[in-house]
Amino acid sequence: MKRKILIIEDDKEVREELEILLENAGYEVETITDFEDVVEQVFRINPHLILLDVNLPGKSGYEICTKIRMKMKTPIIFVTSKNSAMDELNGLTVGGDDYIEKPYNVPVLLARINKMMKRVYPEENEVLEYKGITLEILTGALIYNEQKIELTRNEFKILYYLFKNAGKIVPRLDIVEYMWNNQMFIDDNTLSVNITRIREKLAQIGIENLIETRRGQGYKV
Amino acid sequence: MKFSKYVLQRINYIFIYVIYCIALFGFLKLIGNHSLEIFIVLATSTILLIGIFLFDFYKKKKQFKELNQLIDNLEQKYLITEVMTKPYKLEDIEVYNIMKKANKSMIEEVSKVKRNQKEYKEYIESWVHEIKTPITSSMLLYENHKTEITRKLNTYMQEINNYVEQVLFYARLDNVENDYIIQKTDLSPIVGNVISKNKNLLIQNEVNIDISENLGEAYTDAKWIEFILNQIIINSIKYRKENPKIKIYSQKSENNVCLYIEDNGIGIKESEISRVFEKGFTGSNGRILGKKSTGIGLYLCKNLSEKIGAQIQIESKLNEFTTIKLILPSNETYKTVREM
Repeated sequence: MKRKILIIEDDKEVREELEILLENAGYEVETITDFEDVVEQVFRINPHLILLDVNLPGKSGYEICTKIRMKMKTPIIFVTSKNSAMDELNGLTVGGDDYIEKPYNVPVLLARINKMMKRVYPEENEVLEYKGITLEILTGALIYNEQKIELTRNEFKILYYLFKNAGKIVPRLDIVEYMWNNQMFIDDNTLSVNITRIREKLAQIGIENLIETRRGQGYKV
Repeated sequence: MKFSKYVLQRINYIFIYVIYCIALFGFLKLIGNHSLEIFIVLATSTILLIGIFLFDFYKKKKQFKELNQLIDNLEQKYLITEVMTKPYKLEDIEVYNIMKKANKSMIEEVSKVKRNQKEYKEYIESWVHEIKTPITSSMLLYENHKTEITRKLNTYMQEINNYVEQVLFYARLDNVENDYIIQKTDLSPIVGNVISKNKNLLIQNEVNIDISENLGEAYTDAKWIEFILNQIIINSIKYRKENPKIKIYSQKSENNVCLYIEDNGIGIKESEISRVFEKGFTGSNGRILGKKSTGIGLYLCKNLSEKIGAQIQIESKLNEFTTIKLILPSNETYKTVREM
């Protein structure tokens, strides 16, 4: 089930790009463009999580947060370019759950959202399926024809990213960057080594030629 | 104040007096007075004069001693006329009034400068706040449209962002109200943030990263320490050699966590190492290599560290390595001391 995130941000460019980013990350995204009666709109949209800017036309983010809190427990993450300790304290005292500074480090933003979602809405073992191969996200295992193999953290993340982009050619640099976003700081060589090891493990359970190498371009599943 | 100098400054009066004495002596002698009688008259008036001088000298000495003590105890010395007792002598009152006028204009000038500085600082803060929105847009654009060109642009954007942060922290440096919260902070995620923040530059330059698991917890401010670490990592990338490597590890002791950031870069000359934390110091590395050094990064690191109760140390060998050691308090002693 897709989780719904509401973006309350007055800068059009930031709002639109953030929307694309979160949609790409697998969330359903709603935005607010009319800053009259923000609180009413929030109640109507009823999201799973709210990203709230502090500086808004009309009411400030803090006021909106206070009003939302009277009726809703939805997690609220403040997103703002005001980054003094006082601002952070303000955000937390009016009932915000987290506070992220602009310009956000995208991986950090996604990780915080993810963490918050998991804490508030715990889920069973999430899986990713492609060509009859199942990736178990919680255990980090791969299942094919009722055979199960364990992957290392690096191997699993690489495969996960390829599965997410199934059918597309994924540039090596994109994979490396994705790994870095997840705080696994591997280099190009390590990526090659990992791909080789994944292929060996896949071969053990009878999966051949799943990962194609496109010379000079990247990998494709 | 010395009596000899006091006398010397009144030499013209004394000279006139001596001439007058000689003239008086001649006149009195001429009209038939006895030498001894004349001598007694002159001696008496001379003693009287010396007495007046001595009395005046000691009074002045006492007066200025008190004033000196007063000004020594005064923090803002330009406020002296506000606290001293008003003199009663005519010429002293004149001087006092002139000084008072001068001080008044000085106080006005100082408060004007202070007000300007405060306004300027507020402007800088709001400017930083404003510029972060377009930076955020640009960075999000990159995340959604990854190409070789946007990747490069994002690297530049990251560089711009760092300069913007430097401005913000520089403005905060002499802030009276403290803009940080010291609390128990897990260091690993902060180090992770800094690394992934600079991922474009690090991947581009094929930097090998080695971070120990579980770096520990310290009593510090997450934002400040992240800024400090960011400056250090940027330096490591800037002053790299072939096969660059950055190793981050920590060592825990009873009261501290020592965080080490070690690189295998070009290092720092022994003669320059003691000066790297000085404001504006760029050294031979900054000059020869054309690395656009500003000499602000490490200066800020040092000063910000001190404010949050941390220490920063550096060790380096030319052409071999540079290690930055951050000593962070790991128990609440520091916190309680500050609250007292």
